[in-house]
Amino acid sequence: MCHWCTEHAGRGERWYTTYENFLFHKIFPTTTEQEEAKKKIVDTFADTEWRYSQPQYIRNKEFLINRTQLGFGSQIITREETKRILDLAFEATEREDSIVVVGHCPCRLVLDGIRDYCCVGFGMPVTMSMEVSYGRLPKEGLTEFGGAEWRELRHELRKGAKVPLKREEVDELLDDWEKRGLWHLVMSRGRMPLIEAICNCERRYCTYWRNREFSGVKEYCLKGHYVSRIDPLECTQCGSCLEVCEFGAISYSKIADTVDIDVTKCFGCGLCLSVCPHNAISLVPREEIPAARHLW
Amino acid sequence: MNAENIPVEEIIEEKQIIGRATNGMEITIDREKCIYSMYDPKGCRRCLQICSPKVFATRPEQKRDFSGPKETRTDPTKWILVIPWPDLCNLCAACLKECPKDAITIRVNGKKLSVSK
Repeated sequence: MCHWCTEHAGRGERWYTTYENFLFHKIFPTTTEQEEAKKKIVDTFADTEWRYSQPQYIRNKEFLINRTQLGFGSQIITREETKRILDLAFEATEREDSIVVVGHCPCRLVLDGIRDYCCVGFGMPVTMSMEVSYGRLPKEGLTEFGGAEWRELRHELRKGAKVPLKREEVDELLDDWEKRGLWHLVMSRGRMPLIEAICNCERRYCTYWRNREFSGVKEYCLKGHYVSRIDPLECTQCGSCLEVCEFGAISYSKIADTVDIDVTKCFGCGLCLSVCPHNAISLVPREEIPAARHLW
Repeated sequence: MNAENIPVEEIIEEKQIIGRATNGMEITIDREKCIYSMYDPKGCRRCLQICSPKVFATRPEQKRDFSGPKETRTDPTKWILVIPWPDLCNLCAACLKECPKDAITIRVNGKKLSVSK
């Protein structure tokens, strides 16, 4: 259990599998709190691109530490956990005025100039800054803070989009992204227990991972709740997991002719598990390994 | 990498965009030659994509402000290239080779870095 699970979840649940964390009106119960949160959304979301290209964004350690205290954070999850999160997110759309959409990734847009539609967003806040490619159009009330400005532009980009978005379609898309070698990240952007998106990232682009790497603030991108383990009897040293690991945790020893996973480097994204042709890799909960128990 | 609170100078002028690193290295983009365009599908963004340490970035030209009436708001489709992290540059000169219009120049302590294309 990471420290967010002890703070924001109960009954042995994780913070991203607690149903209350998907509901905007549960986390901000009074109307004044809701108004404040919406104002904050305008500040933080309308200028995502502007913010990420600011020099202080990955350089200034104090700036980044202050931002985590405002409630920014993310954690790496496996493909199995994304299914549970999507179940809860779709359940939340029936409960309150919320949506599930697929939009473009702002990190890739800023750093590479490409529009890559690979970000799954939940709830009201995501419609503010994203150009949505798949998803139901938000109702009137959702667009009043900035989203309405982009509707015309978004509408042109959305040509050919599937409306409404179904649970199975998101699953298909996630499988596609997994084949591309993208790992998954559950994140909250400024309203900590509120879960807002599943990012599908690469090390090259992910602003949150870069923040962690440059500033040393772990809360930007916590390691997952699992660690990969290789069964040496099943492994044939084919090397497919070596290619897919972006964190440098897997190594091949020429003398012993074995493949090893370094538990101190493993982030628990589960990509090696999905590419292994012989099912030699399994995921072990982080608490069961004493060497990696407190490494987040 | 020690990246603690490095002062950064990012200069956006009418004719050029300059990023100055702390070790005296300077990257300049000539805005008249550069053919970068975010919303044009033929627009060039090769320097963004070739750079592996991600020295370059892109953003809307002006900060979006939704507080005023609609007529006074800035055009969200105008985007510019910026050089926010010149300290990350490892002088591989891949951007100089890749740029089709020779809009990028890199100077190390005043001396221009040149490559053969």
